Amino acid sequence: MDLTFYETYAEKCFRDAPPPCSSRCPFGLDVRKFVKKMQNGNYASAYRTYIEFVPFPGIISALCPAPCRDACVRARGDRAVSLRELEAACLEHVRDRKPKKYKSFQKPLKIAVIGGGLSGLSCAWRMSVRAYQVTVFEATNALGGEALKLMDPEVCRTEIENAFSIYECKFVMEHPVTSLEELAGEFDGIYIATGKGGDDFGLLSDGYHAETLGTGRPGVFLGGQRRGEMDVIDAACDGLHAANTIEVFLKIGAMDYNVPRDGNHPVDERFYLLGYGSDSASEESSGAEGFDVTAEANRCYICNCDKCYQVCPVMQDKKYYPPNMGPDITATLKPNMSKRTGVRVLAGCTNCGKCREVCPEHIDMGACLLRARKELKEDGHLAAGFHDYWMRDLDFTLSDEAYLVWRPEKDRDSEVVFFPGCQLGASLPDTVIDAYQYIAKTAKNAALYLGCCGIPAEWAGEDARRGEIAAKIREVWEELGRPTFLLACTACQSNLKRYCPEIPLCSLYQWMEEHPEELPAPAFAEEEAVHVFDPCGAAGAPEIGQAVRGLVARYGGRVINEKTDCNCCGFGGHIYPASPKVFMKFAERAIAGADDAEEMIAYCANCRDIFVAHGKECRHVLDLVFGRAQKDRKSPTLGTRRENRKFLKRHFTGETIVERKSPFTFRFTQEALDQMTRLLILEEEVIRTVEACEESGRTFCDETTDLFYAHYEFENMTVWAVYRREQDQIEIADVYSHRVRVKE
Amino acid sequence: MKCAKCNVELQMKKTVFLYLEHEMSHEVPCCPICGQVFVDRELAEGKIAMVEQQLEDK
Repeated sequence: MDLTFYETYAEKCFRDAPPPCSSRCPFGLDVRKFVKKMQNGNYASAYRTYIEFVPFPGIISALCPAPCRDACVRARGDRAVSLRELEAACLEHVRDRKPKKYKSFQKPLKIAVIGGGLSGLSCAWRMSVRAYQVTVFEATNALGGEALKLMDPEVCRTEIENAFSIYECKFVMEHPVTSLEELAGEFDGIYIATGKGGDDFGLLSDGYHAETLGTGRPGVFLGGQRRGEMDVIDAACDGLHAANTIEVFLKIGAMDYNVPRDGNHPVDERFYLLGYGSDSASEESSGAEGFDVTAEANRCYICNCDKCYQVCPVMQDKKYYPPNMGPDITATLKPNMSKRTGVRVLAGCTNCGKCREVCPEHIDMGACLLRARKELKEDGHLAAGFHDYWMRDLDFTLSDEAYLVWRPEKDRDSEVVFFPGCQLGASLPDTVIDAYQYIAKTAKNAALYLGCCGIPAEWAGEDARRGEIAAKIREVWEELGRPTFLLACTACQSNLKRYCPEIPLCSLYQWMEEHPEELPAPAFAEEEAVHVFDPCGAAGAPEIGQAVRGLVARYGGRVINEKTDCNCCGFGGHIYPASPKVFMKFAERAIAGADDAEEMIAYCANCRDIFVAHGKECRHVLDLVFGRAQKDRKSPTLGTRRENRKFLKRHFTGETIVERKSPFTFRFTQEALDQMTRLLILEEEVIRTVEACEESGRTFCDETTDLFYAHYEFENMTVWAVYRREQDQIEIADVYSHRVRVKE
Repeated sequence: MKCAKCNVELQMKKTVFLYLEHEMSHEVPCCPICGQVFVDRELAEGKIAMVEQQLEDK
């Protein structure tokens, strides 16, 4: 198992990468953190965030040229967020700006800083914070250098005094250093920041390393305006950077070890593609009453990519983004883990592909999670109960009771074969018959193939089974004379496209668009507004959705949403047993997205049944074409779904099945039926449970209610049936199940 | 609650449950004669469902 695949899968994701303003900030201020606090009016906390990055807040906020302004995503819309004004407002609001002293033992190492301008002071401040013994040598009688000329010198002095007020930094004033030799013996590290025209002690020539600010002389660093043209802010950043590189030198003796700078990094252009700033007609924060701090802070979008998160209930459920999924997937797949934190995420992904569609980098987390699910299955750590029902349903689809390959003339090749998929026949058997009869009029010797495309095995992580099914489909295709597969289910279509690429495929709805002459006559009914729901299986094939819209219009529907936009109803991935809550969220969200119309039109039988089960009026587009069903027709029970498939086969083969006779007559209460649907338990399983216990006599009886309790252990679950018995009449009142087994 | 086969009242008994190669025990009503174990819906959908989920996430 290649775990690095999962660790590195989402490395192109830029979630939590610094936004453009932070990147351009010379100090690398965490603007998201700062602004969030300002938005909440938590100025004291915002101030603490600010001084984590900025050495002399009052000086920096006054003199900073604010490169963040040009970088702001709103600069391309209406107006950049005024971060500098927010910083100034923050300083104004905070009364106690005295730095906090934290207990730390003074280090024995001594640092000399030559020059008391902003660059030297920034270095001295950072080294003092880190508990080095710092001495600043200033040639004049005032600290601040050029900053004193650029702003109110009194404010400048106060800021410097405040910043150093709790540290034991020594200032030697009016002491021009003329030779490094006077310091060399006493100090372990030296930073030269003598400013424009200052002394470079001959070190700015050979051996000077501009990235680390290291000179050719070990332990001596040089930066600020002495090394080149720059403003006081960049000079201050040089001082902070020098503190970092000096510390590296003190630890490992290297003068050329490149420590990343705090700020002024290249901007990640992808932030500009996230669609921010499009609502440029937004609120203004400066009006007659002056600058409104909160309004201005609220203008900040706190830029961060959350495109996939916004469309994915799985990510929302566990507060996952691609970068933090990788470590959890890895931890889940590692052998011998005592807790597999990502199991529900692997088992809860519907593989709808929406995350890939919306991601600026097209990262397909669904594909990553499916691969992980398969590996977990291979290792035996994916609970059988998660896919047990659907794998048994797959067995049924491929059993003699439901599986069929049929054509009118057995010795003649078929031009097309209709492959309705396992669930359309289960839900709408009559419609499948209608559709086949239509197809038979449009193609020579049209065949019907009632089978499975293999997607339940794909979702269950059973690659070998899926492979067997694909091989069988290819075999049938050859036997039928290589016909085009006409598909009513988009999930079948995407699955066959992937695993049987040699087979020509065509959506039934596109076929209908191309062969309208044999379709039922168009409707003259009054146009009713409907919302077409595009299933996730149709992702990447918008032409199918357009063909469906054409059919809807032909049969009297006025489509509200013209553009194909594929979403997931929750059925995909067969996530329901593992993550019922997430399943519900998918369904609810899909329905909420269609609140612009009373009725939805689906072109996937599963979507239709799920929406109706949630109380939304919905018809399958084939219902509309063949005028079969009412919009509030209930979803069939699990047992009926099987009966429908048996019926469908018998309809074409004409064979009769001798049904097994039970000694009892069974009736199910609605509560029991609802419970069985919820737990994915079939009527025949409940009947088998009762019959087996009645035969052996191993039942329980509650004499107060006259209810009997029977249980039966199936392969992966134990079913309990609660029932009333009157001679050979059995009324099932309740059903429940568990996956644990009793060691009797 | 009675065992319909043996026609006796059930008695609480420590019972071992198995799931995903893990064993755990719990006191549940059992028939003192034939030993068959009764699990009611509350137990199945409460504690048992919780344990199942925990083991599936292991």
